Amino acid sequence: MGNKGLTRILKDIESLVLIGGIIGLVILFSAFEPRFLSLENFRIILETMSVLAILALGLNLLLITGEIDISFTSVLEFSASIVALISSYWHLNTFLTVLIALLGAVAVGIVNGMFVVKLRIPSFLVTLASQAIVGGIVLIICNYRAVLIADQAFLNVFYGRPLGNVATCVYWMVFIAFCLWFLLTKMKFGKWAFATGGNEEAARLMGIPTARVKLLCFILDGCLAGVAGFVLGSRAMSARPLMSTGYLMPAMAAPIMGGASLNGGEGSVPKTLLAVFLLSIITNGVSLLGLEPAYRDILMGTILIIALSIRQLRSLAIL
Amino acid sequence: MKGERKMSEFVMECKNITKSYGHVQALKNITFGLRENEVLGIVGDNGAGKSTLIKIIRGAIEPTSGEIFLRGERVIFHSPRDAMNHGIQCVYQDLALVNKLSVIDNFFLGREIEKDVLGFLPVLNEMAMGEGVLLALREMGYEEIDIEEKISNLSGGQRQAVAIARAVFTEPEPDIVLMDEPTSALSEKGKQKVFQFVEFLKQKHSVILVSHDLNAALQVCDRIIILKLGEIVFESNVHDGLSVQQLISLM
Repeated sequence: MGNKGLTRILKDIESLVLIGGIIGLVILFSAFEPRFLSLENFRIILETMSVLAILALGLNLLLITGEIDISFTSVLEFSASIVALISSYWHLNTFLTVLIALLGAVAVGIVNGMFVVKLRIPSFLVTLASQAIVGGIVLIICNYRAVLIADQAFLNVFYGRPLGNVATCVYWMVFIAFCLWFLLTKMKFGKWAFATGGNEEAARLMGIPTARVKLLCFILDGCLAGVAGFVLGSRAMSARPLMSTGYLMPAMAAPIMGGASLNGGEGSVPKTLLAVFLLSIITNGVSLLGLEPAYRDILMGTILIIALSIRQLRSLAIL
Repeated sequence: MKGERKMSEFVMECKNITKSYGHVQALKNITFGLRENEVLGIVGDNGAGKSTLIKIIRGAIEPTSGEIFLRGERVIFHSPRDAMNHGIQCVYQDLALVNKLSVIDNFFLGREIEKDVLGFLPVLNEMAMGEGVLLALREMGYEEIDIEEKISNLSGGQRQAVAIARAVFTEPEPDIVLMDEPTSALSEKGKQKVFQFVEFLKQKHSVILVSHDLNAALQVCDRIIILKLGEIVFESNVHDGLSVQQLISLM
C-alpha cells in the first residue's frame, strides 16, 4: 500500500473513531462483565442490531441524497401490524402477507417522496407529518394493543434458525447491506444519488433525473423500514403500537456517525454498520451490567457528540 | 425539421432568435453565426440577454421564435441532452462539479460507462472510466491530478481543467463549447490559465465565451458581439483598434 492509500486511511476519521470506540467499549464492558466477550454474546449483539442496521441503512440512503425521514419508526410499526392482522384474522399465505405489508410500507415512501419532490416541502416536515399519521393509523388498526403474529412460516423467515444458531435476521441484515453497498458503489444510481445530494443543480445540469433519484430513495427507505418491521415483529412474535420506541435516535445517529451529512452527498454502508455495531455494543453492555436503560441513552448521546466533534474539528483543519 | 444539409461557412447560425416572457422581450431577433475554430465573445451588461441566449443554445429553454442551424441543418433542442447529442457542450460559471465526488466521478457524471455482469447486471466500468479521464487530463497537460481525489481538494485551476475536460472529451465530440463567465472570481493567474484553456479548445472546437470581463474578451476572442436590452448592437472582429472603452460605450 502506497503513501496515498495510507493518507486516505488516516483521513478517514469516521472509521478510526468508530473502530477506536468499539475497541474501547469492548475492553470496558469485558473488564466489568466477562460474559461480554463470548461468541454467544456476539451472536446476540448481531441479532439485536439487525433491526437498527436495516433502519439506519435506509436512512443513510436518504441522507446521501440530501433528504431525511423521521417516519420510519411508524412505517416499521405499520408493516408489522399489517402482518399481524393478516395472519391473525385473514390467514393469507406468507408470501401474500409479506407483499401486502411491504406495499403498505412502500406506499408511505411514495407519498413522502411525492410531497418532497413535487411540492418541494422539506422532507423533515413531510415525514414529521407522516410519522404522526401512520402512527395514528397503527394505533387504530391495532386497537391500541398488541396483536399476535400467528404465521409460523413468516416467523421462521425473519427470525428462524434454519442454519445453526444464528437467526435469519442476521442474514437479512448482511444481504441488505451488501445490496445497498453494491448499489451505491458499483452502479451508476449510486453516483447519481451522491451527486443529487452533493450538488443537485450540477447533477441536473449533467442530465441526472434528481427528482426520480430522490423518489426512488424514499421508496427504498420505506421498503427497508417495512422489512425492519418484519424482523422486529418476528422477534416479538407480535406487533404493537409504539414498538419502535428507542430506535429513532440510534437509527438517525448511526449513518451520521458513519460519515453521512445532513447536507447530503456523503454516506457509507460499511461505516454505518460499524456505527450500528458500536451502538448495539452499548445496549448489550448496559444490559449485561444490569444498568438502567437511561445509561444506554447517556452513553449513546455522549459517543455521538464526541464522534461529530472530532469530525467537525477535522474539517476545520484543527486536527 | 430536417432539410438537405447545406454547405455553410458557419458551424452554427442563430437566425431571428426571440424570447419573450409575457410582455417582456428578453431577446429580439438575434442573428449571428459561429465559424469553425473561432472564439466568439458575447458581452453585455446585466439584463442584456446573454444568459437567456446561452440557455437557448444549450437547450435549457426554447426560443419563442427563430431558428438554430448546425452546419446548415436546422435543429430544435427540447432539452440540454438534445444539445449535447448535437455536439454542444457547456462549461458553467460555477463549473457544475460535485465537490464531494472524485475527479473520475465528476468527469463521467450522467454518462457513466457500464459493463454487464452475469449477463444482465449493469455495473460501472471503472477501468474504462479511469483510462478515459487519464487520457483527457494528459492531453490537457494535467496528468498530475489524482483522479481518485475529491474535487474539493483540487486547486481552482485543476477544477476548471476537470470541468473543461468533461465538456470536451465526450461522445459525441463537441463542435461547440459554451463558456459561461469563465474568468469570474479568478485571480490574474487564474485568468491566464483560462486563456490557455481557450487556446487549447479552439484548435479543435468552436467556442462561445460569455463574459462581463471585457479585457478577457478582447484578449482571447476572435470576434465580439455586444448585446444590449436583448438586441445585438455591435459585432466586430477583434483588432488592435478595438478597446475596452469603445465596448463600454456601446453597452
